Amino acid sequence: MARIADHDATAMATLFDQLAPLLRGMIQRMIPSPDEAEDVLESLFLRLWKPMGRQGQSKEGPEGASLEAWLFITARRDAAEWRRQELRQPSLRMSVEEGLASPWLPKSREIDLLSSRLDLVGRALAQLPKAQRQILDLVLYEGLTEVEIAAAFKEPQGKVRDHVRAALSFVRQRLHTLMGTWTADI
Amino acid sequence: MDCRHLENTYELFLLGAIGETDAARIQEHVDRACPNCIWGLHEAALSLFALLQPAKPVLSTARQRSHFLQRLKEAQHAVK
Repeated sequence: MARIADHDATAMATLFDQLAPLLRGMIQRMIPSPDEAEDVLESLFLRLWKPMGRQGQSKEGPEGASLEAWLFITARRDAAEWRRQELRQPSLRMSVEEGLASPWLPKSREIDLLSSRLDLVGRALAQLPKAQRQILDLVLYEGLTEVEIAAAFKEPQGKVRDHVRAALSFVRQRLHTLMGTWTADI
Repeated sequence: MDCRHLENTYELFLLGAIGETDAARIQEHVDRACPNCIWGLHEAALSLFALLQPAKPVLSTARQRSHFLQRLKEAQHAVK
């Protein structure tokens, strides 16, 4: 991380080689054009060399903060913004803390542990009711808001909001159990 | 300040997918180091990381890697 903050191109290229395939897989699910998806991906990595939001020039998170987690969450936001621009929908870009010093960023060791148990996350998702899972996909990969989903399905906004938030909370709580005990099975 | 009403919005906050009023409330809690909200956002970030994993990676082509390295070189030059 320190080498990347020092504008070391070799370190950045190594990071790209390690993480671009997974990030590209996620971005291409939201942006069908490979060229456009690649532009979003490259710009994301290059942003590591620019001042970021309220953290100024700081690229270093709290000790052990996961750059991988930051890249995934930020890539999803960037891809969603790209989709909204294409569809001429209003931007959702808000003043969400973008710096790597964000106090909520998971630690690298947590991400490593989670990455080794992703099969269980898939099983937690499979336990969601079909309607909630469908709506979750629209939120995560279509970048739709609760209001837009309600309009698309002609459902009351409150019902859609409850579905979205219940699904996200369910996954989070299952994950907490999983991360809390290494041998947990769900 | 009680932040139980924010518990179901942490993922949406990180996705940038909630209204400005709710977003501002969470940001305010983060700014004053609210332990409940920071913990909730931390758990939400882990959850999102898992949910966003692709079914399979898409490897870089030689052209894509070369293009990125070129942009990297230009960005490095601009910094110096």
